[in-house]
Amino acid sequence: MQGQVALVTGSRKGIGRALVEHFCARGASVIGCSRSPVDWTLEGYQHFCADICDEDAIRELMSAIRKRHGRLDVLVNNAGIGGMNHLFLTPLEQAQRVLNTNLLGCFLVCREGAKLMRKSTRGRIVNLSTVAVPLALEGEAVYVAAKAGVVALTQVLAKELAEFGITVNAVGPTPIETDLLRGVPKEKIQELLARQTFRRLGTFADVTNVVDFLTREESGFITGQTIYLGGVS
Amino acid sequence: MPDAKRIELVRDCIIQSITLLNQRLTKRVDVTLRERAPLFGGEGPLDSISLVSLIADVEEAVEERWNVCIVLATDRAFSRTRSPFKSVGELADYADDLIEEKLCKAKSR
Repeated sequence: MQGQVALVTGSRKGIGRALVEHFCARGASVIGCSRSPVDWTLEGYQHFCADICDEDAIRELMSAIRKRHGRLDVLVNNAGIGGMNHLFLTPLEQAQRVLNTNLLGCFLVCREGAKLMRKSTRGRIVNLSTVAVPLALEGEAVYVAAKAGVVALTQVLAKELAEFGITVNAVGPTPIETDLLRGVPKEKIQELLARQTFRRLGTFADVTNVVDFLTREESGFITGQTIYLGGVS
Repeated sequence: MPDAKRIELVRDCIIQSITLLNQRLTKRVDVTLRERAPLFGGEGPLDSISLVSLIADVEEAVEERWNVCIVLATDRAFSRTRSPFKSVGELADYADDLIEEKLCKAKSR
């Protein structure tokens, strides 16, 4: 990825940070954002504090990328928040937060990122969904709805952005040891793993591998697809 | 307050963006008509893909010239009885309103 410019949202920790490290190791100039600053540094990496739901902040982020690099080649929409409750126990405010961050934030970054990507000859967008969508996981109604929305958004944007040579795909990871999973009871995770073909937690490497594949130059004929990990379909 | 000189500059930015866009279009915008040149809808030659390209180009040109980030596709734009994307003049007036708002917001910070 020498000479390429990549943006990863939600890059402070977890999958986002793993993707930053992966892209940097492959020689890309990597920009990341999260609501809070990072307590680490990496050669080739630049961090911005930005909330993906804030239109002005995202416009300013893209402006900074344009001024520094002139273009954007790869965008990974990873930022997301969990929300795990039975329907009756889900406050409206929580539902709105989950939808705003996981779906509308993804929409906003796609919209502004794609404007900048028009200058690349091979734009690649990868949106993070989840296996909870095909599994229709109970207890995560709004989270699943938001991430199903990400899949639908991916399919439509793939068509709308094909004109500009931009591919848009999604990846649905299995549960991984991240902060998002910390609040989930162990038995609930075991139940979920039992529904996968490969019954283990995912790893960051599982995710970076498939994101790497989708963002490669050779993957320019693949768009509108969602790849679920762990053998879930 | 509308700034006549700035509106003229915004119009120039739009016309420059269109001139570049025209090179890729089969149905071109007649830039010799200046502010009266139709863009989208009615007699406008732009299709929806060309319009989105123009919107992104104009947003970028405004950012370069005035160092403010505007978003042209707003609720306000789509709820107007007369679309700001109808002609160069309408787009320039609308973009200038957004620039004014952003500059005022920046001053009050």
